[in-house]
This record gives sequence, structure tokens and C-alpha cells, in this order.
Amino acid sequence: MKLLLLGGALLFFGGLFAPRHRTAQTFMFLISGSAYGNLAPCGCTKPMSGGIKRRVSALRTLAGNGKRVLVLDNGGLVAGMARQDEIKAETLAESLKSVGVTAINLTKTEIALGPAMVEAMQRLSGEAFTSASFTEPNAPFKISGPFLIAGISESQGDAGAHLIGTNEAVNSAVTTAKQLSKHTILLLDGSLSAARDLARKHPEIYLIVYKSGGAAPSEPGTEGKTWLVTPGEKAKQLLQISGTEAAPLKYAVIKLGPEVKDDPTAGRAYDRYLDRIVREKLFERIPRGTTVAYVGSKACANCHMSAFEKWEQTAHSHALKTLESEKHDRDPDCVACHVVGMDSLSGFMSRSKTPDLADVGCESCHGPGADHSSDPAKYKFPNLGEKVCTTCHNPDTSPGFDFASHWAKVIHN
Amino acid sequence: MIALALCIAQVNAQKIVEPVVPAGSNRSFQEAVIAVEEALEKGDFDAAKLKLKALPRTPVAIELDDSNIPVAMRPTILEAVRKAGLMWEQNTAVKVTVVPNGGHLKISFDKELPKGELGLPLGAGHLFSTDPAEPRLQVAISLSRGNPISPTMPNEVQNEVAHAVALYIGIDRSLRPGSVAFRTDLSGSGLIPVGAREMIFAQRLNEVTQTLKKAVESKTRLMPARPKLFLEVREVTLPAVIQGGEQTFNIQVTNNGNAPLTLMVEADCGCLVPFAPHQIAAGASGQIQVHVNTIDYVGKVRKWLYVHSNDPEFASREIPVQVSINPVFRLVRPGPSIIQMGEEDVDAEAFLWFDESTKILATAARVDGIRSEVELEPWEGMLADPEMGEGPMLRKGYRLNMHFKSSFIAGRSLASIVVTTDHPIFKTLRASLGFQRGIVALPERVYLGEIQKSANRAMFLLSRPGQDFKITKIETNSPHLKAASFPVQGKWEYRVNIEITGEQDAGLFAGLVTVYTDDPKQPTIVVSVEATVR
Repeated sequence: MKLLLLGGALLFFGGLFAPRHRTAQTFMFLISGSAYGNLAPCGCTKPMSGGIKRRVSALRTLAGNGKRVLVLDNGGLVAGMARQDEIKAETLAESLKSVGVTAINLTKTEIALGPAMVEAMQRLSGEAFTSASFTEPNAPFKISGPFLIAGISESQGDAGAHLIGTNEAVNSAVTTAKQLSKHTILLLDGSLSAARDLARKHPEIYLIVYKSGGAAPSEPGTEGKTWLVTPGEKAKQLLQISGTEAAPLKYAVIKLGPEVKDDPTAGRAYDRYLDRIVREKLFERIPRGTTVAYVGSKACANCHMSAFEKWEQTAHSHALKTLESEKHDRDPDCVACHVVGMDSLSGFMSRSKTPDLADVGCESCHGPGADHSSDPAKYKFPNLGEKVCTTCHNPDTSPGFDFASHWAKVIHN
Repeated sequence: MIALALCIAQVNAQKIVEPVVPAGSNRSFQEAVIAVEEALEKGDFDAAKLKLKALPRTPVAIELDDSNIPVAMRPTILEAVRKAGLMWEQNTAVKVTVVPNGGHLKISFDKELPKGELGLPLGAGHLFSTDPAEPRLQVAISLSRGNPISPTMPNEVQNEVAHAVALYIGIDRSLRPGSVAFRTDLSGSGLIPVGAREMIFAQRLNEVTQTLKKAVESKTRLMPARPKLFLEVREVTLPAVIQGGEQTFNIQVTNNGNAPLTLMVEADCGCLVPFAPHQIAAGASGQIQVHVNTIDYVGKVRKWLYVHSNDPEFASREIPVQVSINPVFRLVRPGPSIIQMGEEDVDAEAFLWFDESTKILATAARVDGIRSEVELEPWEGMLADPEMGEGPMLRKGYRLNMHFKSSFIAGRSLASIVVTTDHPIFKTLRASLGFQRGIVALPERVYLGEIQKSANRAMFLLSRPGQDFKITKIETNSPHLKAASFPVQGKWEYRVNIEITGEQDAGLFAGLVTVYTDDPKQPTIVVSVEATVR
């Protein structure tokens, strides 16, 4: 009985769909964005959060049958414009389509991929991209139920062709919403302060999704009646907001940790992504420079046997195997931190061509060793410190990294 | 006088304020400890003994009520419950047994539970009881979860039971995903481990329970430990700092209670490194010092500190931390993002400047990925920085004069501008550079993703900006793939519309479109088209 009471209490306090007025319909908004190409959780310190498979799974579960549910993404699918970014953008667009995404903000990062890619992303997303700021391609608003959703990009500086002023774009969205008796939702490629300014100018705006670094706040910001929210960056969490036509009412941050299962449809898209980066030989297309030659860890063992033996016992000595087991061993995003000298013409090419440069070796930290091995007295390596570790063990890939405890695992003279 | 001194000594002897409950324990545990202590303070040792029953006991006896489970499923569920117990036993000193009745932790199952915070059916409901006649913690696990509703899997049962054990032994719900102290009503097929956090707390909380048991047995009068946390701030907004610069801040914590306040401070990101005193004496203050790693971030960043304490009113609290990090350098190349290469060599320039507060010197520059020569020279002038949202303004730094050698390999490629500096952290600065040579297909391959067995359309562009060419013929290698071209930009860019007819077999479709041109150096351009037909 008590359990039932507990359930009842939760239903009462948290009842997302419990109507507060008999006639008021409730709507749910599921909000993501700023994935910046983070398709999968990455890193050597578990657990990692995020990834498209978990995101789509959570979206699909929370959206349910899709009635009165708006799935919104604030754009920033990728952060670059290389071929890998194009493939990532296509994968993300197709995955979001599979959960019936309502609108995706077409931002500068998507525009930078070029008109052909924008058209490809539009097709793969189910025509979900929208922007009132970019005049081409022309999809200024999305209408869903009583809401008008507009993608807005701040127009400071020279952001490229076809960008119209922020105020003009927002005025256009708000005016159109009024004409259609809709409530305005802005997906803003801009900061909290920009969102606040817009909410002050247009207090009738229902909701503004802005961009921010780091994590999503645990409570929504407000300016008058307008809610100002951000899903944070790198798609490690989602926002779930519910409300009536009159106002948003409830807010929750959904953390995309390992507790969330992988979505099979997004999983298939992700497998195709991995397959495509191998078939298109993106690893082989990485720009490489001429440096002092790398010689491999075995060459170091001739004089530094105890250090070599210590290295063999560390996770560094089988770092590439970790990637191979997860099918990321030809993924340019990942390989640099699992091999020696990926940016050098004399660096790692493949396990068969350059076996001594596979895994994280001596030269990953100390630098290329050809000069030193030919004349150790003349070419001495400088002492290294914590900074060299944080090249790979950065807060994103290695969130719990602390130098002292990790150095203890690899300590050598 | 002597009698008075003895009396004072006796009163002082009664004022033993212990045990100190560790931060990170849940409110139910903390309240159960206080209830025992209050009885001990009054000298009511029988009541204290009774109250002890509300504290976790080992082995944890799980009373499994499987009456709502279909008979065929019962062995599977029992196995999942046992595995959850085994996870605890393998990683901690916590022992778990499954008993038919009289358990401390009762696990039952319901066909479906009501909706919770997320609007989803609850995966489990938890209820602590202070009635000694009832199990201390009752947990109802739903046999279905998610939306659309689907059967709860054995792994999910195992995760729920492992989480229930964490709650029972007094561990607070974690705010960070990744170990059994965290839970969600979303579906999850993977097994969640008993993590380091649970291992530490299982031991510490057991020590607290054992101390209280001894006090009851020895009839020692204790004063309830009532630490009271006061945090100076609810959120932290830091002044702007240069990337790579030192950023440290302090949060004052005051203990307004009568017993030591224990603290545990975590961050949601490796970029915040908190140092907190483990204990703050009654009436004293301490500082949580937080070091901010500013190397890997630029712009406004929001991160979280999680403060756990043994004050039951503030078992856990989140503190948002706003950091504003200015970039230490900017490497900007004005003009189109892609450099067009023709028959001739091409010159381009890029600009590098450092934050005014730094004294960084650029020592050399090169471009990896293309034959090139690069000169680095001091420079001062007006320039916009669109990426940072800055219009033209006076900048002072370096100009990179880049000369790229022509070599005719058609297509798009990527190169890297590489600048070395004398800075110990930012030794090598990089920026990407795109090149396009000849007639190029955009995107270079057409991807349709998963499609149904129906007509699907897509397109690609064939482009050579500013240099005219003609398409003389288009053909495909499949009867299910059609293609046609149309000029879109004068005579140097064409749109090629393609259609997969919908008559192809299920599975991977890989077709080729071959475009014939009037350019003798690129007489054919082949573009692959791929889709997965379901």
C-alpha cells in the first residue's frame, strides 16, 4: 500500500502528463544540440557520457508515441568541415530523423559544409533544418501544433553569405507567429546574454534554446515568462521540458550515461559511419608533415631496457588494441592518441606497415627519436612534465585524470 | 566542590559526539543514526537497541517476493537478484543473502508502476520504513518499463537490485552516471558496476553502524551528532581568464552544528579539481579550493561541483561554476574556407595573434599536407574574427605568407597550418586548411542512409569555381539508378539529380554515376551512391 502511495505521490508531484486544467493540453519538448561531432563516448576513463546511440534511445523513449512531442536540436552537429565532419553530419541527421526530429537549427557550422551538404543533411533529416537567419536554403520556420520554431544565428562579425541581422530574423519569426496565432520558440546559435536580450525585446517568446559550453543547468533560466535553456555541449545530456500553450512548466536534465541503452537504429547508422570512414580511407588522408624520424619503442629498449619493460606492463603498450576491439582503429579522431607520430610522414601508418609505432610508445611523449638514438649525447630529450600527458588525457577524454596517480602507473627513469 | 567537579566531569563524559557520518550517505541513513544517538543521549538503551534495527545490517537479507512474476520467469529473476548480490560481495565486504521472509530489504515486482518525474513509468519505487516490524527498505520493480512499454530485462532487474542494496546500506543516490548508486527510469541493457564510490562508502557506513552498536551494547551515552552545513555561495561565476592561465577559487563552508561536518566534493569534469577538507569541526569554517584547468576550453563554460555532506538537510548539493576563458591565440585565414587550386601556384595568407597579456613568440610555421613554402613575419592591422563574433579591429601579431605549389590531383583535400612557439603549453598551434583542385563532386559520395523500397532522390554538385567545363554524358552502372544534370552556376557548376528507383533488392545498394566532361584532364568523374534498402 505504501508503495502505491509513493507511486501516487510521484505521479502527483511529477506527473508530466497530468493535466493542470481540464482543457489545457500539455506538450513535451525534447532538446539536444551542440554535438560538435561527438558521435560516441570516447576516452580511457569510464564511464563516459553521451553518444548518438544513447541520445536517440532516450529521445525515442521519452517521445513515446510522439503526440504533442517536439524534438528540437540547436544545431552545431559538427565542428569542422573535413570529409569526416560531412560523414558525421549525415549520420547525425539520419539518426535524428529516425526519432521524428521536429526542427534542427541550421547554424554557421552546417552552412560551412556547403550547399550540397546542407541539401544532403536536409534530405537525411526529413527536411528538419530551419533558419530564419540564413536566406539560403529558404526554410525559415517550422510549425508544429501551436508553436512556430525558428532557427536564429547571431550575426556579429562576418559570418558568411546569406546571413541576415539577428533582430530582423527574430522580428520576422515573432511577427509570423502572431499572424498564425502560434507561440514562438527560438533555437539560437548564441549566448545566454543574447537570449536574454531577445526575451526582453519580445516577451511573448515562449522558449529560447541557447548555446553554452559544458553542462546543462539543473534549472531553467527565465526572463519574464520566457524560458531560456541550453542542452550544454557535446550531446552528453538532453533537456525534457513540458508545458501548456500558456507557459513551460517542468524541466529535467537527462544524463546520457551508460545506464541508457543503445538504440538499434542509431546503432546501425553508427556502424555505417565507421564502415564509411574506413572505406573512404580517411585515416590515409590525414595531413602529415616532415619531422625527425620516429624509430619505435623497441629501438629505445637497446639503452633503456628497464623503462621499456615498465612500458610493456602499462595500458599504453596495447592502446591500439583497445581501439581495434571497438572498430575505431582507422578513425582519425581516435588514432592519434593510441599510436606514435600520426601527424608525421615517418609516423604510424598501420599495424602491418609500422608495427613498432602502434600503441602509445616512448616517442608519443618524448618526441621522434632518430636524432637521439644516433647521438644520445648531442640530442638529449628535455624533461617532461604533466603537460605532455594532458595532450591526450584531457578533461573530455580522460575526465578523472590526475597526474600523480597516473604517473605512478607508468613511472620510469 | 569535589562533588561539583565530579558532576561536571560526568556531564562532559556524556558529551561524546560520535560517530561522524561520512558525506555521501543518504538522508534515511543519517536520520537513523540520529535516532539511535538521541535514544543514547537520553540513556534509553532499550529504545536505542530498537532504533538500531533501522541501520543497515549484514549480511543484507533480501526478501524476494516473486508472487507477481510468471512462474516460468522466476528462476531468471532469482538469478538476477543473486548476481546483484554477488556484484556487491565481489567488490566490497557487503554480504547479501536471499531469504523467503523477514528480510531487511524487500524486493517485489509489479506489472507496471505509475509514471514518474520523466513522464515514463517508474522502473522501480523505493520506500524506507522506520517501523521495526517492516523491512527497512521496500522496493517494487516494474516488470515493464520504457515508452513504448517493454518487458524489463534481467540485466535491468540486476541493476535495480544492486541500486537498492546501495540505498539500503546508506549510500546516497549519485548525481553522476556510471555506477549503481545512480539510476534512471530509462531502459538500459548494460550492467552497471559497483564503483569505487560504492566500495568506499560500504566500508565507511559499516564502521558507523558498528560504532553505534558498540555504544548500545556498552550503554554509552552519546550526544547526537548534528553537523550543519552553511555554504557561502550557491553558484560561482569566475572572472575571465586567459586560456592556460591559473584559475583557482575557494568556497567557504561553515559548520554551524555540534559535530564534525564531513565533506566530499566531486566535479562533473576533469577540468575542475576540488580539494576539500574531509572534516570541519563544530563551529569552524573550512575552504573548498577548486583548481580550474583552462587549457582545453575557450569561451563561456558551465561545469558542476557536487558537494556531499553528513548534514541530513544537505546530503547532496550541486553548485554551478561559470568559467569564461579567453583564447590565448587566434589563427585566422580570411576569405573562402576552401582554397581553389588551378594550373598555377597559389598564394594565401593567414594571421596569428596572441592575447595581449602573453609574451609568446612564434618561432616557425609550415603547412602539412601540401607542397608549400611559408614565411612568418610581424604584422599589425585591422581584421575581423568571425568565429569569435568580432568585427574588424586592430590586431598585432604575425602574418603567414603561404605559397602553395600546383600539382594536379583533382578533388578536395585537407592540410594543416602548423606554427611552433616558445610557450611551454601551446608549443604547436594548428589550423585546418581546405583545398579544391579541378572538377569536384560535392559531396564526394552520395549517401542515402536507410531507405525503403520506393523511389528515393538525392543530388550532388559538380563544381570548378570560375573555370567553365561541360558535361557531355552521364551514365550509371545500375538499372535502378538514374541520373541527370542541370547547370546551376554559369558553366562551372552543375547539379546532378539522381534517383534510386525502388526496384532494387533489399540490403546494401552501391551504385556508380559516371559523368563525362569536356576536360581532357578529367574526362570522367565517378561518384558512388550508397544506401541500405530495408
